[in-house]
Amino acid sequence: MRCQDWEDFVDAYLDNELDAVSGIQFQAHLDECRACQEALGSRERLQSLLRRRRMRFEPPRELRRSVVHMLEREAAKATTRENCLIPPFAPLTATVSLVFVAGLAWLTTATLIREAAQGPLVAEITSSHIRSLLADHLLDVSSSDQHTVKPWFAGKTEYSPPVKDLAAQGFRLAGGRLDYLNNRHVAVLVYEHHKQVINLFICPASSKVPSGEATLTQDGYHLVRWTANGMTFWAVSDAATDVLRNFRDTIRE
Amino acid sequence: MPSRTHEAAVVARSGEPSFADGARNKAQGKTLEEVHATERQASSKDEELRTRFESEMLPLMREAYNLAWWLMKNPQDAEDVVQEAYLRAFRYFSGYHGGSGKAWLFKIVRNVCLSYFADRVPEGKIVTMDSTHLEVEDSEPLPSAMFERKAAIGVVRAAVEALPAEYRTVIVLREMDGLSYKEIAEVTSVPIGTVMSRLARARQSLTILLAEKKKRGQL
Repeated sequence: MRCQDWEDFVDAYLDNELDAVSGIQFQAHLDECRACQEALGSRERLQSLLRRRRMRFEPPRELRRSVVHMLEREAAKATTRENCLIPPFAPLTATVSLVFVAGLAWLTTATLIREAAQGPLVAEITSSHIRSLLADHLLDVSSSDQHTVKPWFAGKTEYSPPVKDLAAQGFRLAGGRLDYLNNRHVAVLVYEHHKQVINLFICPASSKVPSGEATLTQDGYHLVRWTANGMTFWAVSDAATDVLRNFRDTIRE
Repeated sequence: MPSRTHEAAVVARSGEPSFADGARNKAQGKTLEEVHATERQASSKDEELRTRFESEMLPLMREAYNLAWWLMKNPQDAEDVVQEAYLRAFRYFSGYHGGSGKAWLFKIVRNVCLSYFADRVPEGKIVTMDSTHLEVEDSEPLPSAMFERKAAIGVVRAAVEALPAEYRTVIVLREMDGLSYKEIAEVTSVPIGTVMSRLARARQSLTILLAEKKKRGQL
């Protein structure tokens, strides 16, 4: 027997990772659902097996000693490198080539970061969008009034996101919430368009995250990205791409 | 790859000194005494960094070793991985600015394990960490009778070892090393939503494996 609606909550509940509201809701559901009670019981039994002390492997005593020894050698090596005497002209060549290496390293790293950032970030935004719909974590502030939503973010993010209600153009402002992306808090505005939710992630444009215009698809969700006035916007929804593009153009006007 | 470029950058920085410094010092009209004072300051800063590394990272060795064991599945490799990971961690430590020390160190441990596998597996036979074949739809809950007797530890260990690497990793990080979802996400470089689903599938797989062993009387 399975409980389709709530089974995704069992693990997060077990691990104490549900937010307060979902925790209370699940607890209430648990009181009356046999399937979830059984699922939770089964998980608890598994957990007690896995958490037994003998499941863990202990490092041999010499390991700590040899790591400490290795660190001492490494520290000594760094000191000799700094203090050793170098013939007068060698350093110039060395410096030039090292600056070159450093520059090359910087270039490569910068490119790598830019390329790598695209994938995980898009995945992170999409999964954040899905979670917002799933775990009842869509809105921290619920209001269609831009003058209520905008001040709410003050002090919660390091920047003030532009907030516009676009109900007249078919995109009703539902509210906003604080989310976590790329290791920092970001402002998210929530819009509704024909009962479909559009999450609009807004963060300051920086070299660490991709910027400019793009249309992407991840796991069947569409994302439209653009940059304006020093901010990068990500609109994500299961609405069609042209709806999102229309949304973008409406906001820009 | 990024780690290698990082390494190059580190070498470049620490190897850069004397000549350029000398010229700069002369230009700024520093006395020899002042230069020595700056050097002393620098070495006491190194000393401080090392002390901080030893007090924050060394106490995590038990958990780091346990993670390395479960990823490599043998004690010798686990020891090598821990050594290598601590060396890398020490070199990069100046780039660690607070946050979860466990997550920071374990991410390095996991990366060292991955590079071991990448070196060993012959090309064209790359074992992907992504495995959907173990995805499970439905299962019976673990019978509670199983816990009346003491379940043989070897059987449970074997079940965990049989999991694909990415499932094994979340199980070990969560159940044995006690990391939060957020920390696991950091170590494995995936979003929290993915951590949640991997953990759920890993537990489901274990439940099935153990229930089968129970049926066959091995537990």
